[in-house]
Amino acid sequence: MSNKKRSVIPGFGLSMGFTLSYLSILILIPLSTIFMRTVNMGWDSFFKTVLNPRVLASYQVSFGCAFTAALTNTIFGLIIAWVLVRYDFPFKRIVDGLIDLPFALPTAVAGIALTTLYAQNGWVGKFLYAFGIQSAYSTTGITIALIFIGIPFVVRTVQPILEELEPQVEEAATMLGANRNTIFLKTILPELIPPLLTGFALAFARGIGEYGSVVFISGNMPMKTEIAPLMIMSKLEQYDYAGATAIAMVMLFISFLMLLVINIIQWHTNKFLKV
Amino acid sequence: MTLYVEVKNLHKRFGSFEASRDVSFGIEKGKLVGLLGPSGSGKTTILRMIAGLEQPDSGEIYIDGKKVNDVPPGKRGIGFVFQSYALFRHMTVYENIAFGLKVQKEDKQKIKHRVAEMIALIGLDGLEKRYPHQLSGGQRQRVAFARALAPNPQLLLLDEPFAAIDAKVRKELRSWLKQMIKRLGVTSIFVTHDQDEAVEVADEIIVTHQGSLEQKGTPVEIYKTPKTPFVANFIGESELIADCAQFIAYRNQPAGTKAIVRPEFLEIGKLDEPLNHSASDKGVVTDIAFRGTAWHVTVKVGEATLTGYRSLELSPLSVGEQVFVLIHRLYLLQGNETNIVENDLKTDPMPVFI
Amino acid sequence: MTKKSIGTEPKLVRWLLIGITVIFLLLMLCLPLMMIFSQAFKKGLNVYFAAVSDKNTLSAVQLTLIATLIAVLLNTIFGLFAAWAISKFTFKRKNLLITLIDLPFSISPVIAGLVFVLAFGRNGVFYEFLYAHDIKIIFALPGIILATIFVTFPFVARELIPLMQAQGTAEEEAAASMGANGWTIFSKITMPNIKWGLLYGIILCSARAMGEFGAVSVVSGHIRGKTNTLPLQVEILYNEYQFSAAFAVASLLVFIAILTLILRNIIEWQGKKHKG
Repeated sequence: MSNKKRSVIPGFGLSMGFTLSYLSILILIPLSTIFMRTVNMGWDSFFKTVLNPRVLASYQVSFGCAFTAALTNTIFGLIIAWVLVRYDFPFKRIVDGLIDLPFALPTAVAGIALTTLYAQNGWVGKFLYAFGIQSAYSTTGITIALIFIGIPFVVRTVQPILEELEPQVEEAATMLGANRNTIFLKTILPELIPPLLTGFALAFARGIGEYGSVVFISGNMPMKTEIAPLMIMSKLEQYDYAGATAIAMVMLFISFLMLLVINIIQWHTNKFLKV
Repeated sequence: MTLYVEVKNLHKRFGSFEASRDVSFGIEKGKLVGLLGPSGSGKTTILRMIAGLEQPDSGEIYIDGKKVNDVPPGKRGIGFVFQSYALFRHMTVYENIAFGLKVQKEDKQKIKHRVAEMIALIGLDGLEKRYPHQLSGGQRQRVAFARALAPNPQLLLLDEPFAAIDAKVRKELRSWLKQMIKRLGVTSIFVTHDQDEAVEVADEIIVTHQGSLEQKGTPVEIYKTPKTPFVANFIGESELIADCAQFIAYRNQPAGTKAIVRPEFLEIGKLDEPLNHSASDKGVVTDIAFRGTAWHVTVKVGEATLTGYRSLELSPLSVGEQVFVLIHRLYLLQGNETNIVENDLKTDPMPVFI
Repeated sequence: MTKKSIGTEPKLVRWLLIGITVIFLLLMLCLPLMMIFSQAFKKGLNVYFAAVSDKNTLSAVQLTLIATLIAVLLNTIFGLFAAWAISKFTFKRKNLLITLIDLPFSISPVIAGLVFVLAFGRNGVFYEFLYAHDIKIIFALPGIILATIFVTFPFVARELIPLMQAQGTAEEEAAASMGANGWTIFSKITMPNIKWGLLYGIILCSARAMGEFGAVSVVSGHIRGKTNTLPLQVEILYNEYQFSAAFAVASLLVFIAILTLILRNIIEWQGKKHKG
């Protein structure tokens, strides 16, 4: 990385040097141990661990629940962002502030609260179990926890874009004879697709890796409700470092893929944002 | 004479802000009308009410003889060009122009034909597949124009159509737009705060101020016979005089009568120049500025400071010099009206050109 | 003038959407919050205060505060340096650097803990060295701090970078051209512009540091009274079916979370006021 334009502001060397060292020592080098360990363990044992039925089942649970939760959040996140930007109603400010709760609330606390709430004798669980919905100790429960964790990602990505939309564009469509549905589908939704995808990817990435809020409500039944991070945890408890590393490697790969997707979306939208 | 657009007694308030008070006017078919006023004068609100983007609190709007108050905006047969164009940025030029036709479920072939026609009209052939962010400001403006006109509206409304374009392109686009509208013969109303623009482009000007209609007329009428103090002051260069009875030619006016004077009403001459001295006042030059085509001379006459032009052909004045100032005419401000008074001491048979 | 007067949905649709929003947030966010307090105080104030003032809880509070303080301090220094480098200079691969800073956001906290176990734990790269010098990192305070730093790494930088980028470099360049040195420029020019954003970044970072569970869980070893942070204490109490006590300890963390949200709103409001 080189300083292309000579700047009169001092401190480039110092700040850049510190930034890169700190980043390398605390994040990049520790992360690279996972790659090195994976390479060292050989493909045979890597695939043996990763393709173990119980591990595969845990991936399925993690990805499946994270996907369902992210999808749910995409839909509700859009509605919530829309309502917060477009409509006025009592206590709107409080509702708006509340959205960030999952960012600020410790995941373990969220975990025990959700479990108690959605368990068979919980305030909400009571009703759901009456309808035959097993809302705790099931993939449903895991999905509920991941919805809780993921909702701010979608709302907070869509909200600013929705705020910046020019009312004139909708008026232009109105003048050309479009009705509300057409206006939404043809002029508003295309603008919201990039932030919705970004929000989805963020919520999905977070959901795959989430641990604290999920372990309590999941019940951790092998082959059924074990999530991938929990598999890492249990491998570690058995001092099976290689196993833990292999599982982590697959998850890291997915995380990087998500990051790539998000960056591509951002790059693509920035092109159009100039008008 | 048939009125294509007619508004009657329009009222509109936003909270405590009165955007329109009792606005009424009519516009003939095929005319290009400029709604002129300072910002906050309610001109855009009038335009948006005609379009149906705002509902008036009271009053009626007629288009082609039909009351349209309850007709939704998209069904009023109006094309609207927005200030910042409001192009659909994820659609190509072609898709933008085709949008209005598509939502009206026009036949595919017909849409294709019409869009091609519009693109040829605005001279953007070959750019159909471009996105708005790949166009220059002037090109975007043309696309917005074509998009509004594609469904063949009978009335075109333009909100500050040149505001977002840099000065150089603006002039060129103005005459292009005027020609285009004349060629298509579509009745058009545009909003502007720039009087040069209004005078240059419009057949007729409607001046608004604080939500009220001040005057409607051709640019020449507005300029030569302003009906209200606001119009007299707003249009052209003008100076307010606190008491016009101090000048010799207007000594018969009641003391304290306010008046507006324009530079072109004044003639400033050296003491030895052949000016009608008996109809003139004496003053002292306080400032002289070169403005390319003439000298701008500021003269103090009694309590009043007046500015007039002096030809570069005449011998130059100097600051502090005594001069004669002949005031050919004034706009007297009498209540809400403005009346023109001529200098009645001029018995000089020589014709004076202003 | 009103933002828009046409182009809104029919009343029915509007209230339907507002209704969905309110019900969703009530079910997903409000009820869990209320649940925590209701459970915490279920058995009365005595049980609550007994749980909160328990020896193990207090030592967990202490450990949490120490780890948070160090992690937030280091991440704040990093955030300032990183934001300075990124926002005040142009260089190649800037976007890559920003993406790398964001990296911990998209990595599972369990993996964050794992990497330090791999580095410093038994079998780890540095284990022999650490063992020889009797330095404990894993299952000890340093490990907890490292894991906390990893997980809360981006928060301060992420708040500051967009803020400082938006402010541009003109003021700093003007100061530099008048001969101000780096420290003067930073403290007199940049700092007053970013103080609210910085404060919010620090608060958010602290809240997350105190609440971190997964990563800390991996490296702590769950030694009661020694390497248990508050969230781990909540877990232990919960798993021992001491629900009231678990929720009582949890409520401490909830207070911090709510405080964070309130501060966020105040700071946002302050920031808007100062902007104009």
